[in-house]
Amino acid sequence: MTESSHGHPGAGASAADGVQPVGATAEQPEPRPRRDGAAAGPEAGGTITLQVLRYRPDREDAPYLQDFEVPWRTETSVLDALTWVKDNLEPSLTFRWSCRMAICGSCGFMLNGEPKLGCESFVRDYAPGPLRIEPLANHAVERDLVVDLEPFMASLRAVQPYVISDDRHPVPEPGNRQTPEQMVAYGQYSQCINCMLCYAACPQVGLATDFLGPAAVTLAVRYNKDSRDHGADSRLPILDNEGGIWPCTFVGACSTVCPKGVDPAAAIQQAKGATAQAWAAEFILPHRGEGR
Amino acid sequence: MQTLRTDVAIIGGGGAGLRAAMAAADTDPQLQVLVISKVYPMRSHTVAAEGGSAGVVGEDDSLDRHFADTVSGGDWLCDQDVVRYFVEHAAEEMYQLERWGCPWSRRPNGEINVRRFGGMSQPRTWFAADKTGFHMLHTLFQTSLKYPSISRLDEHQALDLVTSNGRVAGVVVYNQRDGYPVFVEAGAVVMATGGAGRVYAQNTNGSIVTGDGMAMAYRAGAPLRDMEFVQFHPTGLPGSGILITEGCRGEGGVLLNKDGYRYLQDYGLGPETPIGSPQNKYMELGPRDRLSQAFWHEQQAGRTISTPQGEAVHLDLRHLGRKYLEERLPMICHLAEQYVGIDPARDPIPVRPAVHYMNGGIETDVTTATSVPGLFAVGECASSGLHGANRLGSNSLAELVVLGKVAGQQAAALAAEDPVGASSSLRQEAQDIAATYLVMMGRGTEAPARIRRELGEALESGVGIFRTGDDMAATARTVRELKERYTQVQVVDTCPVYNTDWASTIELGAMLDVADVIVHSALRRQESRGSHTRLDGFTSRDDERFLAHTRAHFRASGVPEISYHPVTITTMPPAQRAYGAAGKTADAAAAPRNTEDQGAAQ
Amino acid sequence: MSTSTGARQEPTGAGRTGARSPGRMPAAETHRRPYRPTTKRTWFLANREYRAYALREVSSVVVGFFVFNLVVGLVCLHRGLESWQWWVSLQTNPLNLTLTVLAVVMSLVHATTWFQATPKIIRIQRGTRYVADFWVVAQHYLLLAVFAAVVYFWLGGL
Repeated sequence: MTESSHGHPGAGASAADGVQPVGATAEQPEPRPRRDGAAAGPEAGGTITLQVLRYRPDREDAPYLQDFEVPWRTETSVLDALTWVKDNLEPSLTFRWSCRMAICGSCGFMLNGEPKLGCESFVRDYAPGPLRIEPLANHAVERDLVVDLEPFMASLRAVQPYVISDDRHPVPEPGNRQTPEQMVAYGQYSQCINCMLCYAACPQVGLATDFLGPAAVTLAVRYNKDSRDHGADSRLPILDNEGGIWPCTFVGACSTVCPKGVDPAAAIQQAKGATAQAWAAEFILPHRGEGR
Repeated sequence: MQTLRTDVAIIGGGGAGLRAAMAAADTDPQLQVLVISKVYPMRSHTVAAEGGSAGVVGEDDSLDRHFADTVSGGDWLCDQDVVRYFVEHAAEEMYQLERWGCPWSRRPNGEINVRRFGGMSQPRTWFAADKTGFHMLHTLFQTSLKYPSISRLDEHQALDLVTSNGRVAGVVVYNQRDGYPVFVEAGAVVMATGGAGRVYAQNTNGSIVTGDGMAMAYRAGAPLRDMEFVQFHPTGLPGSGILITEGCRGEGGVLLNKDGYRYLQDYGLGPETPIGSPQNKYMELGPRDRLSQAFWHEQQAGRTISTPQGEAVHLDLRHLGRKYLEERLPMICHLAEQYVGIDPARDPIPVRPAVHYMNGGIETDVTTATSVPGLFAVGECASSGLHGANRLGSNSLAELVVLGKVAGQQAAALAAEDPVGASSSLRQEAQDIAATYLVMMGRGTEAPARIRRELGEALESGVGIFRTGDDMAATARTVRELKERYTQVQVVDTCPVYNTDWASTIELGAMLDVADVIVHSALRRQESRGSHTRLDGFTSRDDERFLAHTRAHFRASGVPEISYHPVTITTMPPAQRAYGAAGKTADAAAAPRNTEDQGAAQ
Repeated sequence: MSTSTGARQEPTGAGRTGARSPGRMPAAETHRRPYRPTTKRTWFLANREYRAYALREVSSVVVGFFVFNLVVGLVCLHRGLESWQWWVSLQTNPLNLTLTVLAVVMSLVHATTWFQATPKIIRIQRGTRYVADFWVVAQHYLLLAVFAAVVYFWLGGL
């Protein structure tokens, strides 16, 4: 896509070092900056080797790692480093990105095995390297760092992530009142940017392929806990399902990696609690005593 | 080639596109609505809007005031029928979002809270902390999943519109996931592709904001209007251009030069308001064009602060206190910490202007119809006439939903009444269009990244905050030369799936077209108005010659054809545009005449 | 066209205007060839967090052994003195001792890790804030202490 204007490490070293640049020529070679990696002071910088997973479905049967030598400065994000590679060394390197400010959720990668957003991870924290960049784990790889999001999109639709009203609770005009306290009940769960880091962190996503997954369950809980919503009954059979909340074994890694502090692990455990309560209520008073 | 048929095709899955889709589906549930987006909708750049969305609520405010603020903010280049319609429908759309679940920030009693914003005479900006665009987009996207008649083509790159006897009949897109082109035949097409800020080197925009829709409509014969009016947001992070919301100043943040002086009082925005008591339309709450211009003057005078990423001034939020900052501006705190290593509760944030928004776009009327039958346009890609020469902060998010709804209704009505039938010649044409793009793969010699870089630098130097005829002419020549080089552009990648080398090169083609229009529109406007400010003898507004919209038509060879057409003025004749103490006097004189019987536009 | 995304869907002639559409075009052939990585059997050793999780899960197996041992003891008691003495002597077997010590350690691991996890399950909202994780965890330790004291004094009373 477009060239990064964000901390563009253009003032860096010669382009290729141990790689074969394909196509586009590199920046004018300049004196190589010092390689002082870890000391990331205000003027830190150097070069780092990125080991990027490549997989081109028209050429290869299995992925492999390709090395790129990339100049960096204090403010160079991992995403900047990747766009630099794309602009200067390897135009066919493929990855998703857009906003550069950790809100669009496009640029999730595995950085040295950990799921991270490329735009808010900085090369300085991985110096002197090498830094291994792979597609998000537990996803099918479409190409290079691009993974298949369609299973998630199906899960998202399945959990009915919208306000459901019912006849007993007509929507007031012009709008609802909602106190700050009522907002806090779901606020944290409404911060999810669908970046898929939690899916990459969750071993159950990899093992139980029909698991709705942390983010989708969290969105169901987000609406269940919203005072304007009356759709919890409608979402219950989706959550209380073999592929719903029950594959979750509470590893907790989803919450650890979440870049927005959403805490999906909490949402899922609360969904389990609410589901158990619904069972108990159904046992004591079937169909809420409405005699269906 | 795969062919899909739909009633309403919407290109773009951001706020405007999704609102249009739901409006079309609500208008007629029998219609098939198809949202085509080059990214998954939740990645659309609406997501990055921070500060808020305007809508008049409460007894202290009035529609007339919102109208007057918008018209004067736009330096009288707004079409007042559109502004009137907009202000009358903004709050109802904000409430619609509320009922759909948008987590608007509230007062303790549960009512909607509003904040101050630049150029607005009253607090009327609805906000969801400092992630308003994010919450609006996700609310719209998630709610759209409820509609069975709305389907989507995600990660499909739109290539070109297909027209039949001058009427739009569909669009050729490329399915990145499966790796083949698709012809979408449609009864009506809504363009909702967003802005083009990436044509500039320093901008607050995401990588996807490349003007694709503007260029597609332009090539199909729709004029681009008022493209010289490029909004610089006064507070982006130096280097990256990452947006630091105007909400910071709305909450009381102040701008300081290197001497710690609130320099805005020297630029017609004073007198200085006490720290902690922001006052609408004074000082930091002046409009974006004025604040960006003031930065430029400070930089010329050597009173800005040098940072490793360039010159900057300080945005000081320290007096707001940590607790308030974390409640009202949590993302700003996070961004400042992540990207510049600053805790805003302890240190001021370095900021500088960066390109933020295209005030112009595809010309439409108040019904969002373009001059090409069957094509509607809405959102940043459109020039509805709402923003004039300078958009007020928080009017654009509201525009997405107010006019997005109109676009959906209009497109649905047209698709139901008067669709273009399928024909084999159109399918052949679609196939030919796809072929001209597909052939780019694996060809060429000119590195697209270089053209893009040079384009960004050329626009910064020629059509930046301040402009001169010579600089603009030089930039026009550079853009021409880059367009020439683009004919030999190199696409190395030949893989059919997720070929982003190819896709970004197509985007670059759109950027070149848009840049060409920006610079030629700017060259011809010999006055200073709103965000188009000249230093070379045309330093003031010239209503005699230029109280008119610039209209650029595509010509297959040579420069765009520029013409002018009148601005719609209903109740508020041109007057002096002033802020601060001077604004108070001017406002009294320029108050709209009795608007009782003017009614809504349409 | 009512699936969630078009990327998977077949072309259709649906829609109000679809009636005039001259039949379907042949679907284009996909160039997708996704690579599907598999989860390794040893995934739970991959990082610290997974290993901590695996330890928590394994601890319950060891605690389970201890419970099994107690059940065997109860059965032996029911069977008579001889059987009971056999079980008591079994308790001094070094292997059994080791396992019992391990069970003590593992039940501590199990209790502490679960207590640590409780704030995610029990979230108490007070106004616009949640009660801090620390207090939720502390409450569990407090309850444990009270319960232990009650059991101790009850046994002591016997």
